[in-house]
Amino acid sequence: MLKVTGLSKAFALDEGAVRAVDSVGFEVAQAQCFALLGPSGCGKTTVLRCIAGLEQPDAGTIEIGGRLVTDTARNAFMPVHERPIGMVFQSYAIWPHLDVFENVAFPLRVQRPARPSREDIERRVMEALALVGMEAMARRPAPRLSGGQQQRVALARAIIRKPALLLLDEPLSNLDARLRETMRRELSGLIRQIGITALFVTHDQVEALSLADRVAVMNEGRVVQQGAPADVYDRPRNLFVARFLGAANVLSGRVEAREDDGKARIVLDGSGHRMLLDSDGRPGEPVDVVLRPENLALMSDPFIESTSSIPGRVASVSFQGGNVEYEIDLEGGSRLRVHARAPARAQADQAVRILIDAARGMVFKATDMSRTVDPAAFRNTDDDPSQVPPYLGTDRRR
Amino acid sequence: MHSVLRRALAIAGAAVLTAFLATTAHSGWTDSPKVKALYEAAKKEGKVIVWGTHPREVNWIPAAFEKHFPGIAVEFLGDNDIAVKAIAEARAGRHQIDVFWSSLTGTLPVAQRDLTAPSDWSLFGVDPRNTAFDGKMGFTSNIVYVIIYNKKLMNEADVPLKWAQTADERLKGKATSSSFLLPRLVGALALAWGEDKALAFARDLRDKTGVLLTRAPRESLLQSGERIIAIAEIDSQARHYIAQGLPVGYVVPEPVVMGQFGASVMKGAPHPNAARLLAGFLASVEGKRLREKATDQLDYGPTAENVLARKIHGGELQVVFDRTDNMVAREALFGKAAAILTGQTP
Amino acid sequence: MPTAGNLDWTARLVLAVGAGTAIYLIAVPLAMLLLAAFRGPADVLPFEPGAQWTLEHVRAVFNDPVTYQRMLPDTLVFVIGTVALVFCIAFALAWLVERTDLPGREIWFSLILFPLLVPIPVLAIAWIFLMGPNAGWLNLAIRALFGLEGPGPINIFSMPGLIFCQALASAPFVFLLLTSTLRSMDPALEEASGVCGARPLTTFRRVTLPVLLPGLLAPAILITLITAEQFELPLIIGLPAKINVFSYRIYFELNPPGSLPNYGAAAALSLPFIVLGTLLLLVYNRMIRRAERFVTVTGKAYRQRRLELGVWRIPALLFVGSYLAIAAVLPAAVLLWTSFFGYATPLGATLGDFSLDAYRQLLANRSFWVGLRNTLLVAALSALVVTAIGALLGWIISRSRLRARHVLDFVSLLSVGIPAVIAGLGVMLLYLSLPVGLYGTVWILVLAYSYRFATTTRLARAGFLQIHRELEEASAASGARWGATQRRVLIPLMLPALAAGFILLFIVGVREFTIPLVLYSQDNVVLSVLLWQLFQYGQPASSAALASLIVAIVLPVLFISRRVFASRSVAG
Repeated sequence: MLKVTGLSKAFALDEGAVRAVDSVGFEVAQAQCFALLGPSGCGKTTVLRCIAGLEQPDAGTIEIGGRLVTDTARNAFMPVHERPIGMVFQSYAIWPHLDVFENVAFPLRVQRPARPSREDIERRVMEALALVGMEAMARRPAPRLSGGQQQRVALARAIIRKPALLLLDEPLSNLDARLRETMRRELSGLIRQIGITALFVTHDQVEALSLADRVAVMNEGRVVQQGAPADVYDRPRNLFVARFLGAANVLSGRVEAREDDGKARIVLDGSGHRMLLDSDGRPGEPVDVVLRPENLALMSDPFIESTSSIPGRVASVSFQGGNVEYEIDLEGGSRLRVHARAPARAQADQAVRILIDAARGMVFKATDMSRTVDPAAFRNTDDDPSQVPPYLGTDRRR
Repeated sequence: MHSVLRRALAIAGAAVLTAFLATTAHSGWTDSPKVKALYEAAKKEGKVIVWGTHPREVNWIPAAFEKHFPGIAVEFLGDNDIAVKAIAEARAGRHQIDVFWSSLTGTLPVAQRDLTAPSDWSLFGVDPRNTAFDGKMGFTSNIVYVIIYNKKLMNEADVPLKWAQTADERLKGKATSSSFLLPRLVGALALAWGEDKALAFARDLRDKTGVLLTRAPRESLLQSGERIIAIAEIDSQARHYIAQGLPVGYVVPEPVVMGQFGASVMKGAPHPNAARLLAGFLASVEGKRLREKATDQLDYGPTAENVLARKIHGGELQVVFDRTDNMVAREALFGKAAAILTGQTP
Repeated sequence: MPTAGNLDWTARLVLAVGAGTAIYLIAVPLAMLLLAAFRGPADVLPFEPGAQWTLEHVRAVFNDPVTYQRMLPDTLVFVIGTVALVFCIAFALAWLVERTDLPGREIWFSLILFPLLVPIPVLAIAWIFLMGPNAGWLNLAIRALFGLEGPGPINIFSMPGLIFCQALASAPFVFLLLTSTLRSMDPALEEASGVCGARPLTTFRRVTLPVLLPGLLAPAILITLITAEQFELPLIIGLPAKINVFSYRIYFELNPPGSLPNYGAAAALSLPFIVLGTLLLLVYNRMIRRAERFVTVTGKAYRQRRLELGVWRIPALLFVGSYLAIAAVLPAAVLLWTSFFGYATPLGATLGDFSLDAYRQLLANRSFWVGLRNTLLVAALSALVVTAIGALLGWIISRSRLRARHVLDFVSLLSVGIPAVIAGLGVMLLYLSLPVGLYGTVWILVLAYSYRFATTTRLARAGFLQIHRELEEASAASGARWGATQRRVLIPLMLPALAAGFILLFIVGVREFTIPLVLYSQDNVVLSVLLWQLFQYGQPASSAALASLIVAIVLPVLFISRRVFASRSVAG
């Protein structure tokens, strides 16, 4: 349904920085839900806006539903209002001077050439509102809507024309945590229910992994890896993707030797612990080992030896409802995060051993970036305050 | 030869004597003991402050006064609202003004409130006919209303010589006039023609001549050719334009409408002696001559010696004088004339 | 929201001083206005003994049929026509500069503001040169082109002519306010419309205009009141067309033959302005309550999505160019020409007519330098005072729950309704009576100028609306007292709005001449008064030279203004 090839765009921001989208290409099949995932500034929103027709790329082609909407080589550019798309903006862009009904009816009212009849509009708007659960608020003025309500209205408005492609710009990032979960499920359900092709951009990997059928991870203007969520999560192509897609403990080390079964024996810096992991690393090569917290387990008995367990001392225990997160200090200074189910089985300062599921460990060639080992440094940035929806000035409890 | 020579000498001697007498007659007042005493007292005061209707009307005074009466510093102020200011200041008990120079009507409010003081004008050789308000004001100069025309676009022969002739359809689209001065002219003409005829004249100016009434500088309208004649201008202003190089000329139509200006000594003057000295100086012949040189404003009073003055006082022309006894009547029609000219009333 | 209860002492002091100063500054002109309107008879000044309370002035105005037959209709047509036209012109210009990819927009922004610097009589003369029915250049050209005869076809001395000129003269002011409004609109609203299938024109009609509408209210009200008060252009261009607006009549009453100005009649004629101002304020407040929710919260200027003009680039440039040619280039050219050549016309002038004498004389004149110093001092100081007051009032009105805020809102808008000459008279009388040595000094001018704080209050209020309350609250929660919050959080965020107000006021302050004329003394002469005097006495080269110098001095302010106005959105 959507085909993007060789999309490139460079532009200077006010502060002088240059942001670029560099040769991005991907395809979204019919009725598929595709996510563009990446940190702020990676260019994902630019890609989305180019697809929508809100920006013109420097190079590349975009096809929607088989129609070429952008082709820089042929200087072809279909203006935004002719594209068969619906879009939910990050700020929702609900028009403050119209009520809910009129906001959703807008695309039908401006339709050319054949504008639907009044009864038709009424019916279709109420249908769309019912889909998103807002039919009771049809006459509410826009400024009196909460964040979640605005999002539903935006969604209803985006799908009312039954477009070929639905675009969503950070659809859940402005909602509070509880609402986010609810909306995520609803959104997912809705998209499947109407069978629409959807593309959304986000910096939240949980959003991407849970909503999308396919994910493309972007960084610094490039698509770094594409694939099904599980694939990208379990088999990240590089350290960046590994760290971005989920929590990651990164330990630096060196390949000591290769084993016969294709595994590599890796010795960790600092603690000197050795482990066997799937890797093609050659002896002497410096590597970064990524261990996901959920693939680690805690053993309270410090005396059980195992080649795939590391001794450590509990630095902190954090209760998170159904889960417990331990921070364990290893000998040599590294710190690991371990996720386990509640209740907590260890306390602070306790000596423990960490069991490692070696099959799930990932090994990467060491890069400059990965020399800093503190996993906390890569916690996702929440709620960028500059992204607050702009035009509802009254108290908005998130 | 002898007799011719003797006659020539006699004539020359007579001429010298006459000249001598003439100069002493004029400069006589500066040597009179009373004036000298006044001067001494004024020098002790050291300063004198004169207010006029515009800086240009008074900024020449310090230099001129200094030459005749050195040792007295002159400060001046030129403003449209000096009457209001003088009254407000007097009421507040602040007395800053020594000499007040303005038109008759401009001085009236001040004189009416007993803020001016009488002065002995004869000390300065001023004819009593050239005073007003029971000797509280000494006349210095006059203005007359004129018509200014663009010499390049109109012949002098075609310029109307009577005010009544300006209400003419042949001048349609060609005339402009000051919204400030034209109503005053009409008001003054009512004294010569009667109220009805004057107001009819105003209506004709508006409708037949289509006079362009404005506060824009009329000379720029003349200069660009947008209009050809400007009705109801001031003669000193006309001379001023010509001196500046504008290609215009002016005529003084009948009835000649005059405006009178003069100086008054203020009652609460902080420097009373210097005030009297300066006011008298301004009203004297010397003062008038110096004013003429500096501001182009002439004296057309009964003692003046120029051509127009002689014609005016010789009865050759129909004149509307500016006097205390007809001041109020002149201004009475102002409002009505203005209302007609601006189209407020039909 | 802070009520009087949870403000600390510093806060209360500052606010009290600010509000008190505001009320003081405007009370004097207002009192004078009321005093003059209700005391008579006409030949006795309102403050003199012998004056009594009377309704005669009010009766004279309201019983006079001319008021209803001529003045009211003329004024209504003039004001409504001008406001409509000025909005069209200014909106088009603001749109082109802020929302399209018009080439050279940075320069256009500064140039469009140029007419603000030029004294209005100069603008009027330049336009008479251009559009005078007999000898106007435009008419000459059209007649030549089409082989027409007689006067016209364009007659500047008409109601359309007057409206056109007044709109041109007021456009920069409205342009300034509109560019701020445009910058404060979220582009996503328009993008969403495009995504929903609306063509650009439809988006403009259905989304842009309705959303912008509340932000257009404040400029609309201000410009309505300001236009109603204008008298220079109605005097120079309207009067010849027999157009009688209220403001001309006020001028007329103040310049009667010889005897005293009729302050009573002038004041009585000003009363409708006060009423008008009040009505407009009520309307504004009602509408803005709803619209406050339309306005942005974060205080950021959006990076606007610029419309690509394509082939429309040429007509757009022509439009901007024509405006500038008529409103800026032409008057500037006339000014410069006259300053060098005096009365000589461009066609007939020779090189010998060129002279720098006017400039030489001016620069050698002590009054010029005194005037220059005074002008800059008074303009800057009064702009500072008014900006500060405007900011304080804006805060009180938009942020606090103090009961006084409605009064202050009303008071601030009132200031536009009081004619400058009445204000000047009031100030003069007050300081004549007080034993303070301010009369005749420069400082009295600063005080007298500072009563017009309607614009800055509106700007400040709009600026505050854009700053989310939480930013202030966060500061308080961090332990900062009111004063520190203002200093460290609000003022830095408000700085663009405040700076914009300051620059506007400075320019207006340089141009102001009615008040300094009333309060004129040799020590406090300002350049605008000097210009007026030279102008009145028919010294074209000197007055043109002075006007040119005034423009040249204030011109740098224009160029820095772009940087100030562009950095953030400043008004809603």
